[in-house]
This record gives sequence, C-alpha cells and structure tokens, in this order.
Amino acid sequence: MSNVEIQPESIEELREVIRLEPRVIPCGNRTKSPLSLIEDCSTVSVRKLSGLIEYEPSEFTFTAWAGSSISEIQSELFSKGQYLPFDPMLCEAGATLGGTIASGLSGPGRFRFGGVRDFLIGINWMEGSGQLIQGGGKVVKNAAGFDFPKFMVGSLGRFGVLVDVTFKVFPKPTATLTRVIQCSSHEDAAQNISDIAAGRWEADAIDYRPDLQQIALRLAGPKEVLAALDQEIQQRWPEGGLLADADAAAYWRQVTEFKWSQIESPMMVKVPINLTTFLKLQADLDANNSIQTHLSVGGNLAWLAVEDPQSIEWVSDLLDTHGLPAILVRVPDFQNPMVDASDANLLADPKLGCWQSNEMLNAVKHAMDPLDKFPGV
Amino acid sequence: MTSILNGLEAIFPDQRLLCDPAYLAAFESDGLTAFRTKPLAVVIPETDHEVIAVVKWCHDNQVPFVARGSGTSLSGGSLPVADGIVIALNRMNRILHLDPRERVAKVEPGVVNQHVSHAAAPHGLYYAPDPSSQSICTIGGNVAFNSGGAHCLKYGMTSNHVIGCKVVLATGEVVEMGGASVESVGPDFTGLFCGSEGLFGIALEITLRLLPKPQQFHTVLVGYQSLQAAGEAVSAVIDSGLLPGALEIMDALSIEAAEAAVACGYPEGAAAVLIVELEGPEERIRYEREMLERVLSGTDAFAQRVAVDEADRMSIWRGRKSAFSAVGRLSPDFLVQDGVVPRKRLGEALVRIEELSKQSGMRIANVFHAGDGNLHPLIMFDGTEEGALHRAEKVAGELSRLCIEMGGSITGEHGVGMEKRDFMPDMYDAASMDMMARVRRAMDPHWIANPGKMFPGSEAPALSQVGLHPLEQAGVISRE
Ligand SMILES: Cc1cc2nc3c(=O)[nH]c(=O)nc-3n(C[C@H](O)[C@H](O)[C@H](O)COP(=O)(O)OP(=O)(O)OC[C@H]3O[C@@H](n4cnc5c(N)ncnc54)[C@H](O)[C@@H]3O)c2cc1C
Repeated sequence: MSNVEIQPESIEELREVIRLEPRVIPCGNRTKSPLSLIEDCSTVSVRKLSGLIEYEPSEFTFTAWAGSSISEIQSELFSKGQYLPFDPMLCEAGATLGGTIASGLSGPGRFRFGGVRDFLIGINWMEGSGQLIQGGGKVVKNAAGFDFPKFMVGSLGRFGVLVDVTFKVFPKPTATLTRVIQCSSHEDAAQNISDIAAGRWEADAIDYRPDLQQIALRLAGPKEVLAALDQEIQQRWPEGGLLADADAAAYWRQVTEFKWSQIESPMMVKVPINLTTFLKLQADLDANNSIQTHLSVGGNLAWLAVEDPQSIEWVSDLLDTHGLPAILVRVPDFQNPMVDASDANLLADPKLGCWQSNEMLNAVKHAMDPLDKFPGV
Repeated sequence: MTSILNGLEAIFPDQRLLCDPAYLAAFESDGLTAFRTKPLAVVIPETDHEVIAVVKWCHDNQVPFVARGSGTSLSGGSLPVADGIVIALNRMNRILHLDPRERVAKVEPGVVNQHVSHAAAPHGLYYAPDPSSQSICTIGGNVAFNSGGAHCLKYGMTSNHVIGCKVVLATGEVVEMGGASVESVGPDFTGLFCGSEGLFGIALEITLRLLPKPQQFHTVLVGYQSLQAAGEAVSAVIDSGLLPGALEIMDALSIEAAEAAVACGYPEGAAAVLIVELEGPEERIRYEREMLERVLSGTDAFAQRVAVDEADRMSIWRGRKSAFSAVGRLSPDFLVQDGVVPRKRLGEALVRIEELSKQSGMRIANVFHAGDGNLHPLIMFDGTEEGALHRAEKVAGELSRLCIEMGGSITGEHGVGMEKRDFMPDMYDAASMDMMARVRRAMDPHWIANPGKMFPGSEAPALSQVGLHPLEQAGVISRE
C-alpha cells in the first residue's frame, strides 16, 4: 500500500503511466481514501486533469475533466443559475467529478430528481491498454449504444480511468426552506417520510436522524411558493419547526460533508436501503452507541458513522444478516491514508455486508479490463 | 415439427410453441414494418422458469432468440432472426408487488406500461415514462430500449425509473441487478442493462420507481407564424429558469395531418405550434404560469390557448399524440425518424431538413420534443412508386448523419435496432464499438441474444413495405 501518487498532467502522460505501471488504481483528490487503498497498485490521480471543457447553459449540459473539483464546477454552474440537483458529497473536502462517479455517492437532493447516475450522460475513459473509450454522448437524450456512463457509477475505478465526463444540469431553485419534524418513533418517522414523499408538495429532500427522531424536510423553488406549501405541512406535522436559513444550510452541509455525527472523526459507511429494511437495521443499531445513523434520500440511503475501526467487522456482519451490501467511504485521517497498520488490515476491503458475486461480474470485468490493469471487483 | 425443436416440446405445450407458418406470420415484423423475417418458432412462456429453460436451450443448441414484448419497436428491435426463436412475453404480465410506502412496483416484463400507472393510481402514484405507445408497449420493451416520451427533460427516460432487474443472461445464468433501493453500491448493472436492446438476455422481473401524481397541470398551446419563432420561444422558456414537464413543437404539415385525423382545433394558419406543460402543486403552478405568460408574451406568438380543464388538456395532447399516425392520411407511406441535436441547433437542423426535403422531392413533417432536442422527422412517400422507399431511406440516413455532425445522437428513444446499426460506427469510434462488442460477448458468448441488432455488418432481411403499424391502422395506438 503506497501513499505515493502519480499525477499525470495530460492525456498523453496518463496513457504513458497506464501503459508502464503493471497495476493501477485511479483516484481523484482521495476524499474517500478507503476506496483507493489497494495493495500492489500504483495510485494514479487525475486531479491535474481538471477544469471545464465545455459549458452550454442553454443545453443544460457541461463537459469537464474528471479531476475537476466539484466546488469549482459548481461555482460556474451557480453563476449561470444552474446546479447538479443530487447534492454532490464532500465538495468542500475537495471531491472531484470522477471520484464522485466512481464511488457512486449522491446527497440528500437525490430524492427529487435522481442521483449521479441520472445526471451523468457521457464519459471518456482510458482502458488498461491506454486506449480512450467513449460511452454515452453530449446531449441530454441519447439511446444509442450501451450506457457505460451509468455502469461506471459505483464502479470504484475497477474498470478504467475516467478522463472526461458530461453531465446534465438543471435550473437552480431560487430559494429553499427546511422544516424539522419531530417524530415519536422510527416507525412514526418512516410513515411520515413515506407520506411526505407521496404528497403533493414535491419535497426536494427528506432526511432523518434516528438519534434525535427528527426528519428534515427541504422544499425548493420560488420563496413565495415555499411559504404557502409549508403552511400545510406545518399544520399536518406541528411538532418541530422551521430552520433559519443559516441553520438549514449548516444542516445540509453537515450531511454532505459527513459532519453530522457527534462521533469525532468517524468512519463512514454507505448503505443503500429502503424504509422497511431501515427499521429492522436501526433496531439493531439503536443498542450500539458507537455507531450513529443518518438516513438520507427519503429513506433510500443510510450513512453509518462508526467510531472504532475494530467495529467495522461487526457492522459488516450485521449488514450481511440484513442482506445489505455497503461500502466504507471514509476513514478518520483522510489526508494520510496510512492509518495505523493493524487498523489498515481491517480496512483493506471497502466492501462490507452482503455482496453477490456471479459469473457475469467476472466476465464483464475481464471483457473491459483484459490486461487486468485495475484491481479486481 | 423440425427435429431441432424437439427439446422445446419438453418445455412448452403445443399451444404455446408455435411453428405453423400461419401463426408465425403474426410475429414476423414489428413497428418498423419495412422488415420481415419468419422465425423458426415462437414460444409463449407463462413463468420465469419457462423463459430460463428456453434461453438455456438456445444457449446449449446455439440457436438465436429474440425477446418480444408488444412488437412496437420502431427500429426493428424485435424483428425475428431467421432460424431463431421468438420468446413472446405478453403472458408474463403480472404486477408482482406494489408497495405504496416505498413507492416501488415489481413487475413481470410483459406488463403494459400504462397498467403500472393504473395499478398505482389508487395510491396517488404513477409511473412516469410515457411513450405514446404506452397503452400497448411493455415494460420489458421499454427497459430494453430505454424508452422515452414527452416528459423526459424533467423526469428522464426509462432507465431513470428502473431500480432493479432480475435477468436471465444469454448464457442461462440468472442474475439480480440493483435491488429494492434507488441507491446502490458497485457498478450499476441495472443502468447498463437498460437500453441494451435485448442483447444481454431477458428481463424476468423489473423493479420500478413510482412518483406522486402531480396535483395540477398547466398546459398551453401557442401558435407561431414560423418554425423559427417557435424554436426561439423554446429557448426563451429554458433561459427563464422554468423546468416544464413537456416542451413540444409540431410544424405545419404535422398540424395539417393531426387536424385531418382528430380535428384538434389548433390555431388556424399556424406554421408551428408549441405545447408547454407545467406541473406541480397548485401554489407553484400559480406562480410559474405567470412567469410563463411573461416569457411567452415576449415571443412572436399569434395565438394562444390555455387548457381550462383536464378534458381540454387532453384535447391539446390528442393533436400532438396523434400527429405521426395522422401523417398516414397525407401520405400512403412514411418513415419515422428519431434523432437528437443540441437544442441550440434545432433551428439549423430544421433548415437542413427542409433542404433535404426539397432536394429529394419528399415531404417531411416534423414533430419534436423540443425541450431535449429530440427530432422526429417524418419522411413521406408513395411505396408503389419505383425506388421511392430507397430514396426515403437515403433521406433518413442523411438525417442520422446530420444529427451526428451536429454533436447529437442517432437515436433519442427509439433505439438503434436493425434500422440504425450501420450508423453506430459514425457515432462511436472503432475502439468504443469494440468495447461494446466485448461486453456483449461477456453476457452472450455465442452472440445468440437478438443478433443482427445494434452492431453493424450482419445480414439484413429484405425490405418489403413501409407504413402504419397494424395497431395504428386500427386506431389503438399512435406514435410520437
Ligand atoms: C405508435 C407508436 C408510438 C411510439 N411512441 C414512442 C415514444 O413516444 N417514445 C418511445 O421511446 N418509443 C415509442 N415507440 C417505440 C416503442 O413503442 C418502444 O420502443 C417500446 O418500448 C417497445 O415496447 P414493446 O413491448 O413493443 O417491445 P418490442 O418491440 O416487442 O421489443 C423491443 C425490444 O425490446 C426487447 N425486449 C422486449 N422484452 C424484453 C425483455 N423482457 N428483456 C429484454 N429485452 C426485451 C426486444 O428484443 C426488442 O429488442 C412507439 C411505437 C409505436 C408503434
């Protein structure tokens, strides 16, 4: 496991590195370091392949180098009144577009219009031979050929190096409003989440903190409209209150930056889930105060903050009993991925819980990476 | 019965294993009526076990197979392969599970698109993707083609609404992709399967995401004296920051056809009409309709009609939704095209289409999803005229090339299928085509799942005729 990182500055340099190094794990700014801690692999960061390539606000699309930091891209989008609606994660920490795709992380805003998979429309990636491959295109609607952009979402850099990426964007709502709803139990919360999600209000985000038994509901749109919609919501769920703008911003920022938990420097686990399974899982987690949960995306995504590296195995086993696959996306000192050697062993595989393996996965991996340049899946 | 088919007799009773040419004729074509091929046999499974068994049999005997939903593909996607088996999935039409709390439905592949929304309606939910063929096309076909509809700009295509699939691959291996959550970890196989045009295997169960039904719609029909003015109105709406559910344009020829067919009462003398639809809670609609009015009043419109109720809204949409089938009234035959250009180049594309029409002497009507640059030019001709079909095909080819040249796509929603496979290498370079072939081979080593589609170079069946789908002739469906 090496902390040395190769940072090619052009496609040609990247190609050379890919051809020379026997085994490669691509990364961006390593804000999700456990995903690129692979033994016997050269770490190749695309962070120097950065910047907007094309941005056409009237087309609702942009193309950028995979190493672009999202916050940089977002400020360009914001200046034209547009945004990526899925609340990209870890922007302040320096997340790149490529890393966000490969790790498959979406934030609370995924609830309304979809996640990173739904906004990524085109990619160019480099396969193990150094050859560039195109997937998808540059227009918002395209049904020609296999949808490799979607496939790369969550692929953890195991199939090639993303070089440039094209996203669809949307007009940014002019205002948001966040209301906290106090619930009497997790079951009550699940019912409320479901009622809000199926309601007429077009919720923009619905998250839940089991330790506080609080739902945070975000509406987005013109200010006048939000106030009117909120009235009805308040009448229906009087327990709770509106968050002041600054508090609301802080709340959502804590979610996207993984700073919501009281645990100091937690490890963070992503668990795709639904409300039914969440209730079962949380019943087991409530007993363990070294693990905290934040439920996001209207009950479709649980973030687990884990205090002690030694508990990771326990978490993994627990998820397995619930039939849930998960990934470990963050460890305490992300600046220095060389965590304590004994802990490092525990963290060697970011895949936790119940992963299916099948011949298809191996066959596709072999087809896309015949030289076995990238780590196994 | 051909001896090779003996193994199938063990799987299917006689009445669900069709080999009689008279029966096979019903399956020899799809919505792209230009092509016809008789398969060796058609099987009609009723359970996933039967589908798995026939796919395994095909794998073991290296016999090609084509999955078929309702056969409405407009690109020849469900065209049979000669000497192959058609696996007709219409009887696999159960909604297995509908969970209003999680807002998901698990369905068999032969479930008709609209039936999902019907089943979800009592819970205030619906299934968003709405191809015009939705009263007849199946979810399995929608998934295979990543089908679209009039509401893609805001809600995306089929793949944005599929969260999991159980699939039997062409190898006979049964795999689960995705699951019960909209989120996932690991490479997104569900996303890769959507739009794979039946080349990986057959979807046995599909889990769909349902959305709450919008409380209100605000539908406006605007008349313009030129196509260009309508195009500029689209840009103005987009630039205003509004995100309408639908933004559709029809040109004079398609309006003429729609009037003849359904007397939709569009503004007289319009060279183009624009349909804009907003949807959402009434408070939002009240606000946004004012915004929209301001935007539209700044455009060069000469007539405007706002739907006053649901019946009125439906009558506006009727014109739009019938447009293509209606063209059958203006011309004995036509080819429907599907291509995408960047939105800002729509105007330029339309000028080029007009030139093509003049050069070829063929009338071309235009209907399009203007919000996402998805054009549907309709090339009209008389099939009884010597060489007319080939001239029309040439024009269609030019249109595909035009879309690629402008940085768009050869298909926005109808798929590559048989029809556009030769244009794939113009859109993707050799290395990218090879990557697709490699992945396809990983899923289907013998190349038996729907061969002859998407990839160029295979034998083309003979052209016969072009025209309306039999169901369109019967007035059951219309196309967008
Ligand atoms: C009048 C008319 C209007 C139309 N309007 C639209 C429109 O607005 N938008 C749009 O996008 N399309 C439209 N279409 C095209 C067509 O309806 C869609 O492509 C539709 O998804 C096809 O569904 P089907 O059940 O008829 O599939 P089929 O035509 O039977 O099959 C289509 C493809 O799917 C494959 N397939 C079918 N079932 C499965 C399965 N279970 N697993 C794997 N592969 C499978 C087939 O092999 C084939 O390649 C229209 C067609 C017509 C005739």
